Amino acid sequence: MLVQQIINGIVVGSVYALTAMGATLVYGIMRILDISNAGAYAIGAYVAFFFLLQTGSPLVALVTGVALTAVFGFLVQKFLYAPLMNKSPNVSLIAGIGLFIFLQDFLRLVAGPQARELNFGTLLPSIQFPSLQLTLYGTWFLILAATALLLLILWLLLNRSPIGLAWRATAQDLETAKAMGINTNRVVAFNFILGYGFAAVAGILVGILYNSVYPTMGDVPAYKMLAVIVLGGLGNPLGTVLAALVIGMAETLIGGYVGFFLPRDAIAFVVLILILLWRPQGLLGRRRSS
Amino acid sequence: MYEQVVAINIGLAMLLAMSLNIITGFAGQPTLGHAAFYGIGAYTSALLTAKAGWPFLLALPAAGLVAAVVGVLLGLFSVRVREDFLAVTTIGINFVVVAIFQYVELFGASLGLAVPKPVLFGLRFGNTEILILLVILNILVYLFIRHLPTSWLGLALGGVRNEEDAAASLGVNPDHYKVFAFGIGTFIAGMTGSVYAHFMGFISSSDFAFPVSVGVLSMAVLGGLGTVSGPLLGAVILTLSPEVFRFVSDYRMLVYGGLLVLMMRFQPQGLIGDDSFLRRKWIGLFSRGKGGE
Amino acid sequence: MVDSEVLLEVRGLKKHFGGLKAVDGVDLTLKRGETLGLIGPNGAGKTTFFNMVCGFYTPTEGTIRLKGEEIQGLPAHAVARKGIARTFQITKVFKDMTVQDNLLAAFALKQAPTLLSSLRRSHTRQNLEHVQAYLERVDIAAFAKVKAGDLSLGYMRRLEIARALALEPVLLMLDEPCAGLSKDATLDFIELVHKLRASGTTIMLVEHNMAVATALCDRMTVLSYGVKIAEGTPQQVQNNQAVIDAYLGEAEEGE
Repeated sequence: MLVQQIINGIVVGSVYALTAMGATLVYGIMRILDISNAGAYAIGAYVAFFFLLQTGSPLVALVTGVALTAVFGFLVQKFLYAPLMNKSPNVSLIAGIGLFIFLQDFLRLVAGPQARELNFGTLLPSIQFPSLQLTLYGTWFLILAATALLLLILWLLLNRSPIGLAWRATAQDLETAKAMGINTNRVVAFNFILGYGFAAVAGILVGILYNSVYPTMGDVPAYKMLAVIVLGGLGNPLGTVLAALVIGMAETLIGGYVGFFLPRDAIAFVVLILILLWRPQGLLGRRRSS
Repeated sequence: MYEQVVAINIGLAMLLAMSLNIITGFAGQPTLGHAAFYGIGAYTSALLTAKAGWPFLLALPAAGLVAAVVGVLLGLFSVRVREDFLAVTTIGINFVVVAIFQYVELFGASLGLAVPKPVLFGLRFGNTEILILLVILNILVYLFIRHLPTSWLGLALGGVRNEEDAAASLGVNPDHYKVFAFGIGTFIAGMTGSVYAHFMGFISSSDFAFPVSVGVLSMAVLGGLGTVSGPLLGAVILTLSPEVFRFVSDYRMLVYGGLLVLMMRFQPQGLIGDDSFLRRKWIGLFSRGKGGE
Repeated sequence: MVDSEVLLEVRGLKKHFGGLKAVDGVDLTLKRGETLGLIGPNGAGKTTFFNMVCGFYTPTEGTIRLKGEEIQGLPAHAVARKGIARTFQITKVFKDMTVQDNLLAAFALKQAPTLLSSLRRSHTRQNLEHVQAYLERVDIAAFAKVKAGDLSLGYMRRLEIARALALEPVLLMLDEPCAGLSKDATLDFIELVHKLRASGTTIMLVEHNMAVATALCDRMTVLSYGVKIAEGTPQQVQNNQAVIDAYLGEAEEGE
C-alpha cells in the first residue's frame, strides 16, 4: 500500500514537473510568471484530441498537439509578452491571467463544456502484484518514461547546444547577453516554443492518464504549477523537478495515506507557504543579495 | 428592486478595488488573493452575529479587524520573500482560505452559512439600508485615498514602491510601511465582506474563490493602479458590463479575458493612469493652448 | 573622552563574502566640516565600505562610531535617523513621483517619525516652500512638477543630493556622484560640492576618478584589495608610490 502510494506520488510529481517546466523556462529568461502556459496545456490536449478523432493515429495526434501548441507559444511571445518586457511584472502577470481566461472560454465555446474522452488505446499493459496489493499501471510507465526522456532532452539542449549556451547566458542577464552579441530575441522565441511544447506534452499525458480532456483542465495546474516553480527557486529547471516531486509526494502521502482536513489541491500551497517560511528563497534558489 | 441590487454590487466592488489599490497601487505589493480577506470578513461577521449573537454594528469592525490581523501576518511574510514569490503566495492563501471555509464544520463546510439580516435600533436592514451603509463606507474610504497622495504615508509608500533602498536611506522602514498598507487594505476588504454577508443573507466558500480576486485586481488595473479614482471607474465598468451585455452573456469570460489582455498590451497604466487615452482627451479638452515641451 | 572634532570613527572594519575579503580591516577618521574622498581602483572595496557605514551591509567585524555612538549593524533606515544621508551610484529617485514629492519624502524623517503620524498631511504650504528652497539650492526648482523619471541623469543626481540634504544630515555620503555624467555636468557638480563645503557640510565621497577626487577633497583615503594603502592630502596621495602602483596595475589589466 505504501509502495503504491510512493510510486503514485512520483508519477504525480513527474506530471507536475512537466507541467511546470514550460513556465520555469519562461521565467528563467523573461522573469515573468506565465499563467497562460496552463492554457497551452489544455490546448495541446484538445488539439491532440481533435487529430485523434480525425485520423485515429496516436502518433499524429501527439505530434500535431505539441507542434501546434509550440507555434502558439511563439505567437504569444511575439505579440503579447515581448512588447511588455520593459513594463512592470504585474502587467505581464495580469495579461497572462487574461489570456488564460480567454483560452479556457474559447475551448468551452468551440468544443463544448463537457469532458471528452482521449483514448489512445492501451499503450502499455498494467502489471499486478496481488500479494503486495500493488498495481503498476501502464500509463504510469508511459509518464515516467516521457518525463525522463524530455528532461534528458532539455538538459542536453541547455547544456550541450549552442542555443543552450545562449539560453543560459540570457537567463543570467538579458541585457549583458544582448551586449555580448547574443540574439536574445531568438532565445526568447526558442524559449516560448520549448515552454509551450512542454505544456502540450504535459496536457496530453494527463489527458491519457485520466482518459479525458475538458476546457477547465488547466485550472488547477495553472496555479499549482506556480507553487511548484516558486518552491523550486523560480527559473531553475532542476529546482522545479525537485519541488514537483516534493509536492506530488506530499499530496499523495498526506492526502491518501495520513489523511488531512483540507482538500488535496490546497496541500501544494500549504507546503509552499511552510517551506517559504523556512527558506524564503525557495528550495534551490539563491539568497538575494541586498 | 433590481437597480438597488446592482447598485449594492457596485458599492461592494468599489470598496474592494479601492482597498486593493492601497496595497498594490500605492505600496506596490502584488496581491492576487484579495478575495480571501473579503471572505474572512464575511465569515467572521456571519459567525459573530449568527452564533455569538453580536449586533451587526460591532461585527462590522470586528470583521475588518480579523481580516486585518491575517493581512498583517501576510504583510510580515511579504517582507521576507521576493516580489514574484509574494504574488504566488497570495494566490496560495486564497486557495487555502477557501478550502478551510469549504471543509471545516465551523464554517458550515459545503453547506455554507446563513446570515441574519442586521437590526439597528429596531430597524431591520433591507437593501435600502445596506445601500446607505455602502455609500457611507465608500465616501469614507474614498476620502482616505484622496488624502493619501498628499500625506506622509503616501510619500513613504511611493518611496517603497519605487526604490526600497532609497526609501530606507530617507529613514523610512520599508517593512513597517508594507505591513501597514496590508493592514489597512485588508481591514477595508474585511468590512466589505461583512456587508456582503448581511446583504446576501447566505454565504458559501465559492463566493470568495480565486476568480473573485482576479476580478478585483482587474477592476483596479482597468481604471489605473495607484490613481485615486481609477479603481472606482474600473469597478463600475466591470460590474455593469455583464448586466449591460446580457445578450452576450455566454461569451462573458471570453470578452473579459480578451479585455484584460488588450488593456495590458495597449493601456497598462489603466483608463485614467498617466498618459492614458482618456487622460490625454481630458487634458486636450480642458487645457487648450498649453503646448508640449 | 570623545573628541568633539571627530564625527565618524571607523575601527578595524571587515566585510567577508564567503571567502572573498571585500574589506579587510580598515580604520578611518572623519572630522566635522571635512570632505574626505574614498578612492581606489575597481574592486578595491570602496562601495562595500560605504554601504557598511550607511547600514546597507552588516560588517563582519569592526566598529563604526558616529559622534561616539556605535552604529555598525543598524539597518539603513535607522542609520538615516542617526543623521547619515547618502546618494546612490546608480541614481535611485522615485521615478513615478514628481520632483517635489521626491524631496518632500525626505521631510518625513523629522515630521512623521511614526506610522500613526504618517497619516497627517504632508503638502502644507510651509513644507512646499521649504521644498522649493532646497530645489533652488541645486538649481532644479523649475522642474518641481515634473516626474522624476523624466529628468536627465545629471538632474536626477542633483535631485538625489537635494533629497539627501533635506534630511539635514550631520554627514553626507556620495557614492560615485560623477559616474556617467558629461564633462559639463561634472564641472557643475564640482561647483555644487564646493558650495556645500563652504556651508560647513561634512562629506564623504567614493570616487573612481582621481582628477575629480583631487578637485573635491580635503583629504583622501586610498583602498586597494580591501585594505587601506594610503591616506593624506590629495598631493601626498598622488605622490605615494603604492597608490601609483595600484592605479597603474589597473591600467595594465584594463588594456
